[in-house]
Amino acid sequence: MEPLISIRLHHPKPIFQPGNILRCEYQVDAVELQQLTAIEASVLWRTEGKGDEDMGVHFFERRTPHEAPGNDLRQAFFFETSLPPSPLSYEGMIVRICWCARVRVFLRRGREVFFDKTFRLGAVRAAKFAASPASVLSS
Amino acid sequence: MTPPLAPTEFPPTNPFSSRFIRPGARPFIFPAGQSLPLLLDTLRKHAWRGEIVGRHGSGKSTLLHSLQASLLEAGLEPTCFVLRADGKVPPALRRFQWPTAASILVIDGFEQLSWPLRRKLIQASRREPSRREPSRREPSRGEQRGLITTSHRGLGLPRVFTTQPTLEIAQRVVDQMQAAGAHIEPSDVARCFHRHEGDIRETLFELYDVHQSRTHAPQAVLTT
Repeated sequence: MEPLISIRLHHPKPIFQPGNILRCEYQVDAVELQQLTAIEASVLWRTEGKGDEDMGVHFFERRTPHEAPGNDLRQAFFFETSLPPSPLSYEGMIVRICWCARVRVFLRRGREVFFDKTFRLGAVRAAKFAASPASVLSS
Repeated sequence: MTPPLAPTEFPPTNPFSSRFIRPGARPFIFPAGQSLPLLLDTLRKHAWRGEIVGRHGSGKSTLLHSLQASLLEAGLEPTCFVLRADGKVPPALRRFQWPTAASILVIDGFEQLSWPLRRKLIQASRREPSRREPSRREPSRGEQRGLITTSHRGLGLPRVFTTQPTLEIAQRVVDQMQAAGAHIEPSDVARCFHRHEGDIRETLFELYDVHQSRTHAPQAVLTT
């Protein structure tokens, strides 16, 4: 069974502006203490679409059992970071830029699971479809 | 009053984004009567030497990914090189030596190599019959020098598989990629598949656009 990963952003809406402070709380549950070898929390952007993908990590922290009280990584952790001026979130036709807080859990035997909590940085208007591709027009 | 610039959440990810269609993201779909175990058997009979042949966008690289996982599960040690049309050959490939009896050299895009280098690799992989046991038909593990390649045409290795995508396979690929409430209809797949003359990769690229158009514009625009 996969562990449960919860991520909570301390913000009324998942919309931020450059320079805003992102406050995040995360917790891993439903997993035996001995199974956890490390937890990584990050704030990152990534692209997706038709071409090659890219990503950038804005914030990163890694926790191992010996750094946690009681060697227990299942307690709630908190971090905060000031968000950068760019890249801003964007929903385009062939590419989109997505920001997220990601928690990656490392388990014994090399297993990994992760969960993303997406949020928006900035207020760039989403692209609208202007010219239909030939395939759509010829339908 | 200024309208809101952006919604709170992004729309769902396009299921035809490159992350979902790159080789290895999806298992290869075999035509009826063929399967990965059968392909492994064929390769084993050829002392792990063979070529996968097919046209551009027919699924060769995807098949190679599926095959590599099975080779690993079988205790073999594939070393893969992916060659591009830029003509660059990794130095490690030029110097490649089969380090162990279980090693298999896997080359995606074998035709990108020069003819002399192809010949050198094919000859190096060719098993020399043991002088002690000249009548033995099956190679021992110590004699194996596996070489598995993909190319657009036959290049001198035993042909173990030919990728020939059909509309049915394309439809099955698309069905796997779409969640419930998808925006792509079978007729879209058929139209794109025929337009790209059976090139599944190009078909999926175009379906990305079709999906985008249907999630970013009013339906009325799409049906004109």
